[in-house]
Amino acid sequence: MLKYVIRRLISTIPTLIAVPIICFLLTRLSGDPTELMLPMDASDEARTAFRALHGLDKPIWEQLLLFCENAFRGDFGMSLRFGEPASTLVLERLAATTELAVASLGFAVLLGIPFGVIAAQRRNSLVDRAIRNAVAVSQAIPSFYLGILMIMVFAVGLGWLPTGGRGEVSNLVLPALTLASGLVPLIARVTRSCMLDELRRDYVRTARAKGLKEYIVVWKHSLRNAFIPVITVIGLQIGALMSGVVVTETVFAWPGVGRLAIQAIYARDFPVVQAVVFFFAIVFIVVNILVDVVYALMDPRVRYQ
Amino acid sequence: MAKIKGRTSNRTRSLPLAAGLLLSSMLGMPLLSKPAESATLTIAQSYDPQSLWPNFSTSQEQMNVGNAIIESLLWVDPAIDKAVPILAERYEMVDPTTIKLFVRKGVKFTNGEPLDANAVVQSIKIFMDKAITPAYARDAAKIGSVERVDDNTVLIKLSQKYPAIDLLLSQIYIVPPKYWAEVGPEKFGREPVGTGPYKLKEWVRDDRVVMERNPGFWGKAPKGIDRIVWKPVPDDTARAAGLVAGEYDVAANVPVASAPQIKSRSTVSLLSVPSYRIFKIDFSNLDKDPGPQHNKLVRQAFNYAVDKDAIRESLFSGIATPLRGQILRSNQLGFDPAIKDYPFDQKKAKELLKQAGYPDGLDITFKFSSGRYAQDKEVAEAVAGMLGEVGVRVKMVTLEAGEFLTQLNNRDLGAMALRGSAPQDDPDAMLSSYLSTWRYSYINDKNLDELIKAGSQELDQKKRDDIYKAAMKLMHDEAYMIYLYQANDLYGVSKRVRNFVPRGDQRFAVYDMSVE
Amino acid sequence: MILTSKSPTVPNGVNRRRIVKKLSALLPFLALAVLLLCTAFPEFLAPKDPYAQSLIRRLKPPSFLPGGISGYILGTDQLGRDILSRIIFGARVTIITSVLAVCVAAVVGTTAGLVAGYFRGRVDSAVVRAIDVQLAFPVVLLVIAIVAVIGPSLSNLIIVMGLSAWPQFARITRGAVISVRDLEYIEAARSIGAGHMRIMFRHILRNILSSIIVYATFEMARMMLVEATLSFLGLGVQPPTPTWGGMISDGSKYLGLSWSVSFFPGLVIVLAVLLVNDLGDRLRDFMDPYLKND
Repeated sequence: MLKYVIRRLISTIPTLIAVPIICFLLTRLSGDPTELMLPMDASDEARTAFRALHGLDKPIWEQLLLFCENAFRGDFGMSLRFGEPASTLVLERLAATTELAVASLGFAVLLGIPFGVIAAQRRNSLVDRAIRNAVAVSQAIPSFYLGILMIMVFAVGLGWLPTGGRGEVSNLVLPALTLASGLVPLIARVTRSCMLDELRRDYVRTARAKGLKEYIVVWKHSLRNAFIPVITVIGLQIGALMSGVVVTETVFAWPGVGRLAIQAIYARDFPVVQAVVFFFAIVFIVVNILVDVVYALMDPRVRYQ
Repeated sequence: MAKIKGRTSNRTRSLPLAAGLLLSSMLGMPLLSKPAESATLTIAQSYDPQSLWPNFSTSQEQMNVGNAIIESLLWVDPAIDKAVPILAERYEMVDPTTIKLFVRKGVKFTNGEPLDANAVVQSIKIFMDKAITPAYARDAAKIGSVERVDDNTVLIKLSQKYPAIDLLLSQIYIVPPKYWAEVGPEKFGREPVGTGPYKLKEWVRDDRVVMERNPGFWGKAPKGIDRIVWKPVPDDTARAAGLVAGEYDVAANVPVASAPQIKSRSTVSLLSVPSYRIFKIDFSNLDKDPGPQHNKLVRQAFNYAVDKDAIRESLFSGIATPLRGQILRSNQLGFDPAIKDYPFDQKKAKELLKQAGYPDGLDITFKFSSGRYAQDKEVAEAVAGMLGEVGVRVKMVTLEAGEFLTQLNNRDLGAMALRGSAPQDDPDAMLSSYLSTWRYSYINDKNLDELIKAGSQELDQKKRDDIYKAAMKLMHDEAYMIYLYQANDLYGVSKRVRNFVPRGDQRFAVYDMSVE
Repeated sequence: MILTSKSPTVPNGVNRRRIVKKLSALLPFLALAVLLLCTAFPEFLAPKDPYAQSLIRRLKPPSFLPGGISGYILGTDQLGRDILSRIIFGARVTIITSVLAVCVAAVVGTTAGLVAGYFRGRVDSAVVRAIDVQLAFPVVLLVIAIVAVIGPSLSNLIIVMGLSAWPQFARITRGAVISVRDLEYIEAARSIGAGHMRIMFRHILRNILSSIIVYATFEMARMMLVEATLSFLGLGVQPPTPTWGGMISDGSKYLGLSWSVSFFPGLVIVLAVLLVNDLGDRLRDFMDPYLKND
């Protein structure tokens, strides 16, 4: 097992090298941050000084070399806006984003799996259709719109929950639900189709014949096998979840990495963009390795492929 | 393997139960939008400060927060529209380029350092250092040198004659020199020490800045406000919603679309402040941008074709001030009441276009930003539609805010572009961006250049007024731009807050505020 | 149907229910027809000029509600333009953008997946790494960089949206290719001397085409939402061209003044996504009853 994990870790090295370099080139293509960092009527001298201070006046290959050298030591440079290490800015927002992502994954699983199971149990019934449609609708509403609607209804209209910010559990509900809205349909869909498969299997027939209660057959035996594809979907969707975080955190004033990312991208704060993208890549890789490990644990054949 | 099986099945069985518990506990929660404690003032702005040291950048949000801790020499008070002394007791002009400044006595920083001439001299030196305060380089260039006379007197030598001294001195924030030397600008920005009415308690990035009363404050502290909490809320609609829900006492920069919602509540009110920001569509007469906009008749025709009143009345629900055919505002030096804006007259516009040699209309490219200014996209679309009605075929190009700024600075905006300008409150600050040598000027007019240069050095108020009036007349006759409107900043304010008076540049100070 | 209605033994209720059932089965196709008509001939279907603005009649509610003005069935937007007409015209850009974006994604992704799955080895691991890199990358950064370099335009938007979606196609294709490449019929093709290209595109691709098409249908729905989000971030289709996503994003800023500006385009996107999902399901059942989603 350990060997397998090590092999997987090694295989991620090219990604970890390629992502920052591509990101570096893309950010340099997206414009000169000097124009955005200094006030519009700043003098040419001030601009030159700013460029020199942040090494923006050097040829691009030289900047790239320097960047790689520093990145290798885990140093993504100083934020152009804050004058602080970019990695510090990312790290201090990490907890908030993790909290939000975990909560929304929790919601997605807690809602998606039961929906999928019930839909599969009553295949093609009214309930099945209703669930499938309701779930598709929630997926079809853009998250920025859903977020604002939820604020209007649950925070302003009903006064049940706060409009934004972080702190108590109540602050977490609306953003987590908004972020989960894109995931629930996927999980429900995958659960449903896997459950349909499972419920047709021989062991289910045997279990039923043995007189086991239906809910045990469904919720215990079949669901366990349907779990692997669900985990795969979650692994694949981590990237999408990270993109979703950008919009959700902005709408709900959530102090996380996504909000930092969008502000840095708009302001062309290159070091921060690079740090965030690198962090996203690591999250993506780690989650997918975990998924693979779970896979390998459940199905030993994977390890020897 | 068997072990894993057991574990998984246990977990899955309890899933629905856990879901139910979690949901019910969350929905069953009582009213959580708790009203802030009476001693706490909560202010929501668009952005988190980059630093708590006001001179770190020129962003208003950042300065508003930092200014509650670190104070400037003067403060231009919007309530009386005059500079009031803060850390400078007063100043006098020894000659046209020498300022004698008297430092307030008996003031201490919260770390015990005294406020004296030395602190002021050091702070001005920091202000003049381009490497530390690049954002203020243009202001700093006006200062030649600074020296300490005695414990409470400082002599500032200007590098040129400069009419707007109040404005200059109000930009300079005073820091404790020993502590500054110890920690440097970055750490100072995170853990500031000042003379202001509040001191920093905690700062959770992108979430909140919490301040509490400075017991040793030299002046009269705001009544009933023991704590100030600053919240950065980026989404405009969400910020207004938070105010209505009672989470914030003040919400800056609320959108026009939220105005009815705020007005309909009895606990909050809407405050509308005429902004220093004026909006216009600039034409380029640079050689690199050939096209119909080089023809004066075409520019005038465009001015007649756009119904500016309709834009103000509808898109801004009337909460915007008309521009009177000039870029200076009615309370500014140089404003000429004799100038009237081009009225809305489609017939006249078509006639002028025909005269200019475009009887069948013309094609033009129009660049604007999306999301840089309030409703910029809507205004641009409305203007393009109106121009379409007189036969102008407009090719619209939206630019992401950062890209817009970059193109603006590189003079790449082309034939016409929607721009909001919010310079400091002095006519020179507005006019100098139209100098042909200015980095992002799209006008090249020798006569205008001369007027602007003359105005920037003229110390006699009457003469200065006349010079700028002449400039206004010239620009209006040439129709170098479509004059749109002066924006209004909207604030949502809880009824328990008193004396919240923001300035037209979205700056406000907490000195006179109180909470009931 | 004619037979049953003539049959006297069938009770009336059952009969009606069957008709309803048959009709509801037809509903998606009807909706699809309407959608395609809107995409093809918006000029003939839209009651008004979608670009004609009037600031006086802006943000009016639908004509069937108090305050609405007749002729503007779904009301007017922030510039006084007819919402219904804009939705009808918006269908064209929205549909074309999503279809083309999916095409870009499908072509790039499928080719990459085919090559990777067929040749395995180094090519394969290169493609797999490329997929990882792409998936780990935020789309917004990609859009801003591309827009900044080559300027904002519909084609650039389509390319970027397509590029953000190719990895999924590559994964599906690669997996499918790996599972069929050693099957007998491929061996047979190889033994009669078919070249790599021929085997890949004639034999393998044909065999897995159905799953790609089904996935592409689902992906189309997602593309509409991506377009909406890009509009919200100020990076969408250039105005005044209407798109559904752009209309929602513009309208969401006016929620305090008018609910209808964002509601109707939102409703249309929801219906379109439901429709596309339904068609995807049907297509799957039709092409391969044993195929599962994902």
